[in-house]
Amino acid sequence: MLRQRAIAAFDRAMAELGADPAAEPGRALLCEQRARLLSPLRVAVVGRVSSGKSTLVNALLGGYRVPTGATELTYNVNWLRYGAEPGILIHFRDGEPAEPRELTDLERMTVRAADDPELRDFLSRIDYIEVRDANPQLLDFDVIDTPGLDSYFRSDSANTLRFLGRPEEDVRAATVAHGSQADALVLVFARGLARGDAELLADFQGAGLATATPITAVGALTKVELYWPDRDPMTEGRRVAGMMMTEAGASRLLFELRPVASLVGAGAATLTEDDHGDLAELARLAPELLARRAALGPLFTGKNYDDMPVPPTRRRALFGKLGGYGIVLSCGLIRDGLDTRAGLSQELIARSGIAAFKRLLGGHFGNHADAIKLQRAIAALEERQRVILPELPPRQRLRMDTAVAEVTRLGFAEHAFAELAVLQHHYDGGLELTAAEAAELLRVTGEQGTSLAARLGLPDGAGADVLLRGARERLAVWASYTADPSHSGPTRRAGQTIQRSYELIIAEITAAGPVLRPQPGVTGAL
Amino acid sequence: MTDTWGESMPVFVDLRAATLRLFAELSGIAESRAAGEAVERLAAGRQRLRDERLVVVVCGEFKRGKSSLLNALLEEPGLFPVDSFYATNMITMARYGPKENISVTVAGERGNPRRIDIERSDIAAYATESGNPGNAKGVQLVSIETPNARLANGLTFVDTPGVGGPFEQHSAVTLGFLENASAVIFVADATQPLLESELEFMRRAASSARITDDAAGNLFVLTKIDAVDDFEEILDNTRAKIAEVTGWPIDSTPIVPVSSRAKLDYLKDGSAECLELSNFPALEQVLWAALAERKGRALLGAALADLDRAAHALLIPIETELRGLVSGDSDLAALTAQTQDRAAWLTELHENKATWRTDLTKQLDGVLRELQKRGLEELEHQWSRCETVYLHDDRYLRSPETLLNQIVSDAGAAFSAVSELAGRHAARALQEFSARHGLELRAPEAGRLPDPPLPVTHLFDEGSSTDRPGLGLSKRWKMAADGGTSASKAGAGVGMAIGAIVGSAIPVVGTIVGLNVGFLVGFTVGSTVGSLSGYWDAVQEAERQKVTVARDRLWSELQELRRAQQSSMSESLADLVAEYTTAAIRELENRIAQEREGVAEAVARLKAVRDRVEHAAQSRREELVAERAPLDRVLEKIGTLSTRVAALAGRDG
Repeated sequence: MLRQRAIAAFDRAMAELGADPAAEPGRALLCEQRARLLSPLRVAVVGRVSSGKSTLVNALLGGYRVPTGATELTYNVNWLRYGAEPGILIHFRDGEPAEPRELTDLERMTVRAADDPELRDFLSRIDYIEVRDANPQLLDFDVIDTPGLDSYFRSDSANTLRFLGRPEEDVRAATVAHGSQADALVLVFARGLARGDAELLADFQGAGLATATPITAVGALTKVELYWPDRDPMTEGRRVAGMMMTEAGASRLLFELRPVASLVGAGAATLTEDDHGDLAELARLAPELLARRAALGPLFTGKNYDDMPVPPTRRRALFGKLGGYGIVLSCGLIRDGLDTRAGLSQELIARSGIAAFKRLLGGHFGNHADAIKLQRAIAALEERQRVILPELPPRQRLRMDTAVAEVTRLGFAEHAFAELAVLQHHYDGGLELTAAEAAELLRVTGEQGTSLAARLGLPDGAGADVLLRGARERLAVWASYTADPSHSGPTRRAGQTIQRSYELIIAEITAAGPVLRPQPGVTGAL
Repeated sequence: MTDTWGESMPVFVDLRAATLRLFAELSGIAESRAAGEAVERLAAGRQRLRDERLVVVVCGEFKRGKSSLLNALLEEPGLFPVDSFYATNMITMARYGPKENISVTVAGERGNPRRIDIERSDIAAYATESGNPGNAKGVQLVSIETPNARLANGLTFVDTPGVGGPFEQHSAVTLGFLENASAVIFVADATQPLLESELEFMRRAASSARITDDAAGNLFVLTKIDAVDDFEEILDNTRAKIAEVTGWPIDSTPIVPVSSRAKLDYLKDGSAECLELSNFPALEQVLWAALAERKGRALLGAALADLDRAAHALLIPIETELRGLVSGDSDLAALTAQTQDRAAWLTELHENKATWRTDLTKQLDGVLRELQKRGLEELEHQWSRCETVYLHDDRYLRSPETLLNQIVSDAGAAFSAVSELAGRHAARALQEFSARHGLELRAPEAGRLPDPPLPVTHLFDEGSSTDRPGLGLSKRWKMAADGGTSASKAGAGVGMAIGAIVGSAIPVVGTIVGLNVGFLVGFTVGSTVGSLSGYWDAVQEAERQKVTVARDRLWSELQELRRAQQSSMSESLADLVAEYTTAAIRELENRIAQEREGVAEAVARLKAVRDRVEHAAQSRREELVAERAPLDRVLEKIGTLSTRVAALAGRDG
């Protein structure tokens, strides 16, 4: 497997450097990058300010994890990672040692301190805040919540860009690609600002963020709840997302753009029995009346009505948690017979698009995680080596070169990178593939799962003979494809890469012998 | 008409109606006296007041709820199309028409606009991204004329392209508009705080308002308060940002939270709580106050000055005769001599135009030089921003269109503000000139009224509104309008077309300003992209070239554009002032004719006094007192109205 081969290469590189004290910078670099290869993929959530990033993070993690608000709230980068002991660790920009805090301090550390100059100074020293949480979702990914771009508070944009590796003032974005701390991106577009978002896309493309490619970036269209009550949020969201992918050219940057009703998703995850009881009472109102009232937020949450159950304070709590659309949707589901809190919560999460979005993240990033991380490691080694080399004595310089080459040559040797290159070419629109051929390209490179069966499009648990037959059949098809002189240069080379993918699959089946075990699925691959 | 806007219907509209009634009253008197010149001038003044449009420009980022806001304001759900995807970059305009007439203007051959008449149900097919993806139909303007009672009184609403991209070419058009607008509504919403890019637009709008000193008439609206439970926090957030970026005192730049949805709900079922939540009554009040403040005073002030002049011209013969009746023979002879002198002097002025024309031209030349100096200073201000800010911004160094659009847009703003200034300075010069030559019969009743705009209207008397821009404009404008200038080719054509359309939507001065903006946009984009392409190629080639080198190179490449803008500024201002000079001469000729008419009548009446025998004098005096009574009443009304109009002054008064 790619990961084992990569770790082996790192180990050979360490051996090459030996125990010479002069080689310490090189060893540190290799250790750091090796460790990063073994740690979960880092996914940063990026978008314009107040576009619903924090709400999306909460929805993805199933509850209230990071603070959210009506105005530009998030001030610092929040880095959520798995930890059995919950807590936060504050990392400073000036290199001061990181400072642990209680989880309850997070809100104070995240939210802009408008009235407290002392706290403000403290906050401005922060590089990022590491939030450790025992949430099982975080076993697969680190999730990094950023303040956002295009902010009135220029420091927000600066904090976001700095984290993505882009120097605040430096005009050249050369270091962007390699300095970036994130492996992959979720780009968030608020439904409210579509044209600005089209510019944001252009901005991302212009900034030369190496992370923003369809291989490493997916998009979320947030705040679709606001389409309601004029339109059905998810239907309209899908339509708008589709137009953005085609009209606004997002498909060159994003693997996919999905609508998510994250407020509904996040609210559903924290629904209490009391909430459910209130919703059940509201469900007894005439649906039209409820919808009309819930569409006028200030009245719904502030006014006493003789014909409305549930006091305004409780209505306000529900509105804050689910929004007008979420309340009306919940009441509809309750009327349709969903009478338990757990059942309602699960259905809301499904309807909000959050469940599907999680699957998308798992499938898309999960299946390419090792290749993505190794690609970044190689880039980082090459970049940092240039800095370290001149400071080393001549003999160490040569050894460092040899050691780093152990890892970087994987970039040429590993077929996974050839596959990524073809995928990138495909997303750029540079290949002339039919829809079926394109679907096969995605499948064989692991979009639907990294098991051999998934890559061949065969049922899980298929026997070795079935797999072998399937693989040989596809190999023959692609061999004749590449032999066909009518296919142009890049398309033909893509065909050759796909052909090679099948050859490697066949080699793997043959090596495993007749007692082939089903390969681990999506999450296991991490 | 008055009750369509309910309570918010302002004093302004009452005053306008009262002023129009005075025109009718005074015309009646002038007709009975067979004072042809006065009748004509009164008719022209009345027409001007009637035709003058109150243009409300709405600007804000896409999806902030501009269309819904306009639908709710006009109480016509679905008039302005609402789309979830972003609307294309076009201007939508609604004004009154006795019957519905909707048209779209699309770019035709060689960039010349072509008009297509459509039905209301077709608007979305042209004006929304869903109906017209990527604006493939090339729509530049959607013009709606409809018999909506709220649009009576000359009210026109203009929905501008979004402003989120401070780098977009069309924000130049939007900015060009603002100077001519009677009121500007900036739109923010409660579901998302204002972004830096939107604030940048406001910063620039405020900075071009600084040139003309026109902070009045701007208001801010926070839409979609129905989508949240509590909007106080975002309201404070928005208010603080606006105060900071515009530098306008926050209590004089009102921000009104509204719910268009609640207003539309109210229209459906008349629910009082919906109307209350919608907060539209408050918005309407603020809007009308802004209109009155920015436009009302100037508009009504000019009309009242017209009335005042005409009334005095009609009064002079009566007063002269009265004085003749009460004086002795020697006094009467002196009065006759005096009046005859005046008549001779007016004849001299009338027949010997050359002298005062030269004088007037000289005076306006002074204005021109002052304006050119100011215009170049403003341009220089923009260019120094380019040098010190833009050229240090990564985004601009990376993208040619972005930088060019920014520069063009800045220049457009400076241009249109200076054009506006040109109108005012010319009007002031004319006023001084008149006073110096004794042509001003009397100072306007209320000295606090602003300088009335120079009436250039008659320059364009002939022809329909669509071909107005071609008339009375210099050759250079026309060539550019035809897309015929070789330097800027198609670029100028399209930009020009937008300018021409945009301009003619607005009063006549606006046509010129619209042309300026359009010309500038087209000119610079058309002629400069080509010359800069060498730079961009080089940038791509030498990827790692030192930034400073790139910056210096870019700066030097831009110098051509800078020089072009400078000469365009000077030349266009010269053209503009030449138009004003022509208009001013015409205006003075008309005034001289009007006064000659009055003085001639006075001379005739004095002769009649001399011929009259003593016993008849008493009854003639009584007749004369009766004859001047209605004029005195009119003058008294003019005085009262002037005081009230002057009281429309709010923040800057």
